[in-house]
Amino acid sequence: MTTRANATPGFAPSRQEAHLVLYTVILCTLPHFFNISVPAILLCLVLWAYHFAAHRWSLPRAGLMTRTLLGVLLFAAAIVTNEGLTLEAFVSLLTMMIALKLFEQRHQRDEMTVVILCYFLIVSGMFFDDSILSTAYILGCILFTTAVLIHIQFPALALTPALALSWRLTSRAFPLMLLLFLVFPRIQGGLWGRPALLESNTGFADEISFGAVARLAVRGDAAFRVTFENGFRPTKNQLYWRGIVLWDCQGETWKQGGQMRPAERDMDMGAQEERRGYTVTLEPHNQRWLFALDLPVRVTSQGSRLHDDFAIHRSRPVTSRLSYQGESILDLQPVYQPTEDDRPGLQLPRGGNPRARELASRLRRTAATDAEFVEKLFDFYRENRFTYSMTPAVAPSGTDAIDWFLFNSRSGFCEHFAASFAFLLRAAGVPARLVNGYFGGEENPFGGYWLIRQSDAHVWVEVRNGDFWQRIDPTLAVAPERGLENARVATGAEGRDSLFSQFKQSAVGQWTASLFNAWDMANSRWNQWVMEYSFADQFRLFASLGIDLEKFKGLFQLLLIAVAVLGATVFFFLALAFMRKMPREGDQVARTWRVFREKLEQAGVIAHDYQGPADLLKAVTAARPDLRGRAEVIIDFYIAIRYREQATAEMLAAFRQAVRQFRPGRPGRHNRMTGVGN
Amino acid sequence: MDTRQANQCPSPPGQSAAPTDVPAKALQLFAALEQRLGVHVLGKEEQIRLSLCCLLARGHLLIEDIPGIGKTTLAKALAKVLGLKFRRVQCTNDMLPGDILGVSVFDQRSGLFSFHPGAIFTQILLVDEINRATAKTQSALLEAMEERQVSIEGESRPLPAPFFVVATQNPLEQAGTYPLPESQLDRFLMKISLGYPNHEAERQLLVAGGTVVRDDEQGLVDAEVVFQLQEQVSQVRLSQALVDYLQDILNFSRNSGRFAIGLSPRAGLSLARASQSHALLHGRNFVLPEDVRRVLPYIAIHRLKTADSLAALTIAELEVAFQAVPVPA
Repeated sequence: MTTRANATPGFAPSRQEAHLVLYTVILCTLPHFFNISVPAILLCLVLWAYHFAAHRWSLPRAGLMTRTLLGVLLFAAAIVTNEGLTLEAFVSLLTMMIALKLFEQRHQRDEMTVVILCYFLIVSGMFFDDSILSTAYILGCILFTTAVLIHIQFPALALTPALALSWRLTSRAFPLMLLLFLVFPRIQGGLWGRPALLESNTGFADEISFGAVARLAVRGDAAFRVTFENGFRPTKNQLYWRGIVLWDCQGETWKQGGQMRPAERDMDMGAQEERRGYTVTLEPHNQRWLFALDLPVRVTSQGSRLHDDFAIHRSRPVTSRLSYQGESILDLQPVYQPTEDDRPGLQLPRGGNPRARELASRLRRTAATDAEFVEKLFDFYRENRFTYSMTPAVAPSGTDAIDWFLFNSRSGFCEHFAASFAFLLRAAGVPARLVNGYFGGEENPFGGYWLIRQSDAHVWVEVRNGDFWQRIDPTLAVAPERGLENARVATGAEGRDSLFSQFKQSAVGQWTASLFNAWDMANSRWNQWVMEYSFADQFRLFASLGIDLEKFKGLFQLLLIAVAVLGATVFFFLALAFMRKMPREGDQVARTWRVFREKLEQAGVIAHDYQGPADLLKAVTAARPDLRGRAEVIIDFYIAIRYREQATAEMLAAFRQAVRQFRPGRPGRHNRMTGVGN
Repeated sequence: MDTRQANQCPSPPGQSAAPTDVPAKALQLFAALEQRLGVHVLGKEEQIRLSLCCLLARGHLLIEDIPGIGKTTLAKALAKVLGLKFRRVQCTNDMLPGDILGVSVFDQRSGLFSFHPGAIFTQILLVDEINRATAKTQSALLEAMEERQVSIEGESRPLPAPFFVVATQNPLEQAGTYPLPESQLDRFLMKISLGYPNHEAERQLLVAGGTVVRDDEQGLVDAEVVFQLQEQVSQVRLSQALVDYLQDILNFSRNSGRFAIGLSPRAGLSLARASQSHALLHGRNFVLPEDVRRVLPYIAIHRLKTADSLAALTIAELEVAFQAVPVPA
């Protein structure tokens, strides 16, 4: 009863209130502009602009039909522009539907709906970005949204006191949040996972395309962070981070291919003391593999397996940040399995690149051993003054890309060098493969971890040397500085290198660098302590408090079930009581009457829900005299049913039929209509 | 198309004649009554209607206004036009209950006590400046109003059948007065104020040199008819939907937090009766939410106070406040 009594009837949102709701929506949607497609953003902006303008200059509002149609269209648009049912599609659908809901503000609860939907928008932001900054933004959004919600509920409270109240409420909720965070059973993200991201967050792909432009190498985003155990500090040129192994050469592109055999269970290689343990925190890259320091011997992560080419595959793509432990032996070389077949290591496309093949066989003839041949190939790269460039000229179409690279442009980056090198090796009958991964990393002195960026992506070659696969890196032969600096510097080297290095050495540069390191450390700690707080951490927390959860597990489950059953029962009875309380809410007459009032409202009759039927008729007469006759019939039926209580079955039916057939048309167009009353 | 189909539907009963089920004679009577009353009280159609509504609902009326605004004229005119007996009591602070109710006097000739009825034994009683009477007198009067009988010396004496009290009080002069407590205000069905006449009415008044209710004026009806009309009021239908609406209003007054104290059950009963009466005045034998809305402010005004400052509310404020209660669909 009270809920009905509290609803404010005759709702006409003030312009200020309407604008506040709009600001809330904009505030909550803005961060998603990084996530959703451009057409979706444009649609949103158009809807907002129209909403703003409609308030300003009283433009016509979209009717129910238009809104429905628009809703369906937007639904389609969200899916089409975001490549299917991705998370982005859901979010853009949500944003657009909220923007559309802004046009439907007839009751206070419509405003409430918009504001409450905004909370969902806020929460969905966490799917995309959970850094400190965005978390702070989200908290700010929650504060503001709550204030607007308060302001709508209690219009007497101006925005500033509402903000203060919102602050008090949220700050009081904070300890509860902290408690729940610490003790509420964590549901790990992996349980059902999140929908796949639209675009891979990394330039790292499962294939290397020779002619493609290097789009990833200039990105400075973090790829992953590594903390070594026992204070181990690798040297710069030991930092080869193994990703996937590419076997399948199709001329210009290399694909994964090859055998996907899991390694033998016990990779019992190397002495125990040579093993280096470390923890990797991998940013989501939407691919099915993990990275580990060359050469990994063990990786502990659920659903991941070490393959016999020492690539680590995962059963599901990494769609959220993932932490795992690894163990590597630094100077170990992958064993060439005796059972291994030579063919995948020698596979080449049938034709193409004749000059490269010719060069390979010529050099192989002059070399006594495979090792000498490799040396000669290195010499070839060094002597012919190959240059390192992140923006090499692309081979004209129709030419053989490897030939063009080896004999014409002679300029490229790691992909070109490694791929052409491996091609030459294979052409000469030496088994070779490509390894796609990262090279390098930057130590963060504050956090004691290594940061590996997207721009550290690298490709190198592994060639069969007797019983081992030997790592060779042709890029270093050409550009030794690649081993010392990451690609961002390499790009700078193309003319601005002196300026850049000057900057790096200046006090400001060093200060900037340390600032960056501190910030990255904060982010890393945030990820480590907050975002990755897991069930295991909870166990540890309770253990440190002297509570062994393992012991209480059964009891805990029982308690959980009891609470769930209790909750369901309470909910059931509440629902029952609620339904019994308003038995008439759902009855046919009331529904029909509401439909009628809705129709009148669309016809431009302003009627408040505190007005009874007689006043409604007066309102109709005032606003739409042409409808008076037909409306009066319906209103008389309603009065007879509701207030004279003379309802008969056929009267009810006639009432419903009359309402169904009541088509008032739009306001302003009633000249064309001929009502019964006229 | 629409026209044809609308005609196919069975017509709702009584659609042709809007005022339903009440003989047209009664409606004419009301029109005539209001017209005659309007002759005496110029330009106060709304107040006249509310007074009639109050009378037919067997309620009592409190008029709060400054002197000389036509309160007595209204009460007198009501009595004359309805053919009812009229008495008037001017309250003072030395007045005793017996002055209103009556006293038993020893008759030396018969050797018996004989009862001399007070002013209250009438049909329309005008109690002028009720807040000047002492609490004792007030409560005696108000008890009689509620019980419709007077108990003197152990003997109950019923009051005449239509019994209607019009009490007035002056809102400005507070010195030497005994304001009616809330519990006694509740006994009055409605509180109205007349206010200054409008420009046109005042001009008419000045030109005519005032209106006089002549003693020999004949009433349009008599007590019997009034009694029957009162009976008819209680027959006016209060549908389930309307009772829901009434309850929503009562709940709102109690739970919304806007008012210090909500409407009492007696106020609820008063609201229902006044709504019925209002419906009858409009020729209907069923109550519509509009009836409730029209009479509600006059029923609530002397019963509700704001929650924060305990201040009295105006009619307009009450109208706006109760707009928060939607009519159940």
